[in-house]
Amino acid sequence: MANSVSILVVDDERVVLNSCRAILSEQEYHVETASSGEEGLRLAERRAFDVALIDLKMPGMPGMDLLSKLAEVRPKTIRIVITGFATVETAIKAMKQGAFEYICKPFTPDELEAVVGKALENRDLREAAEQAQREKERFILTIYHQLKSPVGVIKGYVNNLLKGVITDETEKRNVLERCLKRSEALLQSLEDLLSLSQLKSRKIQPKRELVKLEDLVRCAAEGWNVRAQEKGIQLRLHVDVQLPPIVADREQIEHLFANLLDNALRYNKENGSVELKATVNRTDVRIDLSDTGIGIAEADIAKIFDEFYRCQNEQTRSMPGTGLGLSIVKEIVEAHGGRIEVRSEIGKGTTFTVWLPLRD
Amino acid sequence: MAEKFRILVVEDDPDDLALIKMALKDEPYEILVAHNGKEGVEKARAEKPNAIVLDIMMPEKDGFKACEELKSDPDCANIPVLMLTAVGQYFSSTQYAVGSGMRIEAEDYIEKPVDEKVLRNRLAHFLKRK
Repeated sequence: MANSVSILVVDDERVVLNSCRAILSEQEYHVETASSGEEGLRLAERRAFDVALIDLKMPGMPGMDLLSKLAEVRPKTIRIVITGFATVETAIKAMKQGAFEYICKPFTPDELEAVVGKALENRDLREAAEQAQREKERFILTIYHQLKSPVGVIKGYVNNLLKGVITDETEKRNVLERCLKRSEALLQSLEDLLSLSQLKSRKIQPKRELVKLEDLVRCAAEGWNVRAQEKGIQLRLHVDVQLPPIVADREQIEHLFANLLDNALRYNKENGSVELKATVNRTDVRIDLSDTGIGIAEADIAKIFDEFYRCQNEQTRSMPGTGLGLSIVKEIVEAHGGRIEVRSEIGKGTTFTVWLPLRD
Repeated sequence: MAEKFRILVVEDDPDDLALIKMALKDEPYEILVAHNGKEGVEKARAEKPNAIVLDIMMPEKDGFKACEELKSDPDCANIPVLMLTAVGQYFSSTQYAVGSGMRIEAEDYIEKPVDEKVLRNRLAHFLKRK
């Protein structure tokens, strides 16, 4: 009941109060009533109602006064005006002053429900729009920062090369390699950003295909193995013989494994190893991917799936990375109704465990 | 009097650090380096450099915290601090705005990517004052 909508009804006619209460309580709204503007204001001061229904024609404090006081005291409360046919003009005036809608007496239960429903929907849409705007601003700021850094570096190095500041041949080569690394990381950042954005908006509908995990993993490992060999790293695959195909989006699952394998390679030690175990039980396929890498500190584990989060320590400092790889993995896993966990020991290695349901 | 000034550069990104060193290559400075805020504060206390170039976004202690510590330490408070900020002045709502840095009393701010001439001029300016 934490999300119960609360409604205040202010009208000098007892009949109106009672019928409003009866009609609105059926919708499981919390209803409070007041028979005068003063009483209504008192109740509103004590509680932040979602909606207030206010009769325009009352003795004592006029409805219009209550409306403007409410606008001051509880700006977030949606104000709906109750009017008679004779006072529609005043109702429209009230709307110009910020009331959301008006309803004419006598009204049917349907009419009342409709106007309250409309008001709440309007509020939800507005909040969603504001939230989206805030997220967009935060996102743009993050992108700005993410991209400005590598571009600034490349510009600086190129400038120094052109000016002849760097004379040593080895240093020249080193600088060019840094430019290459930073540009590659930048391009990867952009790819990841696009992926993540697409995943988030498509989240509801990953494709439904029959995916044979074993084939998919072996495929992913082929390309990966070439890079792994340069570092002397071996991949060991243990796949349950009885691994059934799962219903999933093939492209997304490929992406998932690519990212996890990429991390397992990138943060691994020379001549280390990577082990992938796939097992199945009654409900899920379980994949454990372990590496003998630098590991993840406990302080970082909680945030490791956060967007743009990167562990910052001696080893990771010079490694390019977008901080999006694991966010993407998590989005994919969750879009398929699965789960992901991570266990790690600093200096020893990390294991990611993914559960993907056999059926949805 | 060709005095060699000692500049402590506190920067975690190896490329940004390399670029700062290149920018100061022909200046009469001895460059000391720290890779994060914690190391930066320790080195500043131990070495008492003539000026500190301090990045904001760093692990283990960001530039703001490091600057705050240095400015509240009577032995280090008078060492001029130039903060390097990666986020522009437009986004003052963010934690790393130049605006919020002002309260921490660094002597000056330079936006990244660092313009070499600006860095050289600002350092020269602060060192001449001494």
